[in-house]
Amino acid sequence: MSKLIISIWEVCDPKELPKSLEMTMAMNALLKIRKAQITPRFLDFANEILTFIANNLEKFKDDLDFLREMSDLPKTLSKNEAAVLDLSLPQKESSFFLNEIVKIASKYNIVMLIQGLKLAFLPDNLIYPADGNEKWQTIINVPPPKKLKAFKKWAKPIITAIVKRYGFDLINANFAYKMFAYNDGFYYQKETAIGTQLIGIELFERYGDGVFYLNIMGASFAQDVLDVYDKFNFRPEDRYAFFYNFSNTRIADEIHNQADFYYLFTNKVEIELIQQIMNKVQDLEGLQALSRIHNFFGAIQSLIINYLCNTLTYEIEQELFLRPLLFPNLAPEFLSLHNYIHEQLINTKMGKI
Amino acid sequence: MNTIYIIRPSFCFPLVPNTATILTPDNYDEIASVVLSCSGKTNINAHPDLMFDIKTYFHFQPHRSLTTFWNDAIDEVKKKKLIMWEGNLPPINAKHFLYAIVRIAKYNNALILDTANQRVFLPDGRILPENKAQEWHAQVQEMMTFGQQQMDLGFPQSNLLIKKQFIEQLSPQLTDLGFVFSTHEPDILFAHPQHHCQLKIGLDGQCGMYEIFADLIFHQATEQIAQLFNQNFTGSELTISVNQLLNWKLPVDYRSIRSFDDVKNFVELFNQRIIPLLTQLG
Repeated sequence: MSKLIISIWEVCDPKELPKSLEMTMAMNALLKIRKAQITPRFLDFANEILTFIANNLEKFKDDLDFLREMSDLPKTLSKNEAAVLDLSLPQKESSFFLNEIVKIASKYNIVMLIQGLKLAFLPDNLIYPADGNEKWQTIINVPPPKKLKAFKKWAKPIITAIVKRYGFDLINANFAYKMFAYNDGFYYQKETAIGTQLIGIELFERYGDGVFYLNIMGASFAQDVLDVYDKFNFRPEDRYAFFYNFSNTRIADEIHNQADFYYLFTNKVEIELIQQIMNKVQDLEGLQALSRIHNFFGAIQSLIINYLCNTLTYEIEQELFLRPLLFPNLAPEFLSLHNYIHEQLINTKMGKI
Repeated sequence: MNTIYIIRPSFCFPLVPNTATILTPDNYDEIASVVLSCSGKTNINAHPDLMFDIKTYFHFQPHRSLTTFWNDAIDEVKKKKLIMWEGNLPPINAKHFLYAIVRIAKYNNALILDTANQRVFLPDGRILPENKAQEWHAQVQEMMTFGQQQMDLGFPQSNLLIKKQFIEQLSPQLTDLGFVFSTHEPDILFAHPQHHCQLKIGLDGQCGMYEIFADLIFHQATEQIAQLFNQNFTGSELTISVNQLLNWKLPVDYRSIRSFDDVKNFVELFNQRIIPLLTQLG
């Protein structure tokens, strides 16, 4: 069973149909807390889904959780607890399943929303958002690549298009920051006023079983930070303003199909890494603000950033000296940096006097 | 003496059935009674990671007596596979030290029971009972405000800078008496070549919070020298605690230096009580 959920509800009056993806998502949230009587038409729709599953059991036979959920569907519906029916997508054959139920739903006044993919299907083959049809054609309505190489070939243009929207350009693996290279990854670069931002993506497979995973890294380099960093004998592999790393092989992060990939990629890279982090660190002040809330900023970098931004306080220093990320063998250099910064601060103060 | 107990809740409280959530009681008394019953208990999975983090902390905040003390604690917990470490807070700067341990324990998902103050610090950041939480936050705030005030006044925040401060303030008098500044690594050392005497000043700490201890060491002591400094003559090697000569009645031979006033007090007392004695050496 996939982690992606498809929310389904019936609209009795066509005037109640949402006019956009945002309205569809809002409607879903509102209806979820409302009790509603299931109509005979909706039951017909559900029965048609069950018939479709029964006729195609062979395709879903390995996804027992999904089949269990489907077999419980009549019981779920009989409870009449909410106006929205939430179904999980199957882990395998999700494209096939989605294609079919979209076809079935088109005969009813049914709204279907896959919030994780930001896609909504309405009667009369209407898809939200405006580019939803294109998304549908590239993510869902394509045969699933079984091999890693094919999956990468399919994913690369999608990744490139998404990060391009935020100003990141594809670069070849022969880039300057060698220590951030994966065995076989895609790299994207953006120049900001303070330095380069780098995103690296690697798709990999652990057991050759068609289950893929994502490695993601994001690094931001700021010349002003490096100018101080390079005065000391710190590790060359830590020459960044911050370094974000995501590498998980938990069940929740498995990629079984294109929809799983799209969901994980948009959540981890587009939203978490680009929108919530990289877009906010395009100047030193942005770096400083983020260093207060994210622990992927090392104590060394945080100390330099706060010094450069003139925001070094007693409390921040106490906190940096307690960060668990520091390695004991870095202690002498860290203490030298700390001393250097305070010497500079005294000199500045005396200069002002 | 203020005893604290550090333990991971997973070693002493049950799990909520069918979940990975630990069922930690939400009142001090219950937690204290369970935690205290863990004293001396061992577990094959007990690993002193938290102790190692404390050890790491001392790489950045070196305090030699505390470092030795915690190294011994780590060895004991490691050797015996104890699930809980129990020990005393240091006699000076205990609040500051506890603040650090609370932070480290939180990173390591451990709780701290402080029986003397009847409070418990939970790994999720809560402090029980609630009134103790307010009290603790006020104490931390006070600590931070004081530290910030000193920082704003230009009080040295790095160990090298505080050493520089002491060297500058003590050098004139000592140079007049024939002492020669020798080194500030790791301790400040002034040596008198004729009297075979050294003044060794240890200054530990970082970030505006230091500990000072000083010794006068005579390598060719005589009975007269011992008498002059009011010491028993036990042989030609004589080590005299300057801190004791300055009349600091502390349970340990350390003194906290956290402000310009502390520096001033040390130097003034040194000039009043030690310099005249050193002058008499001729």
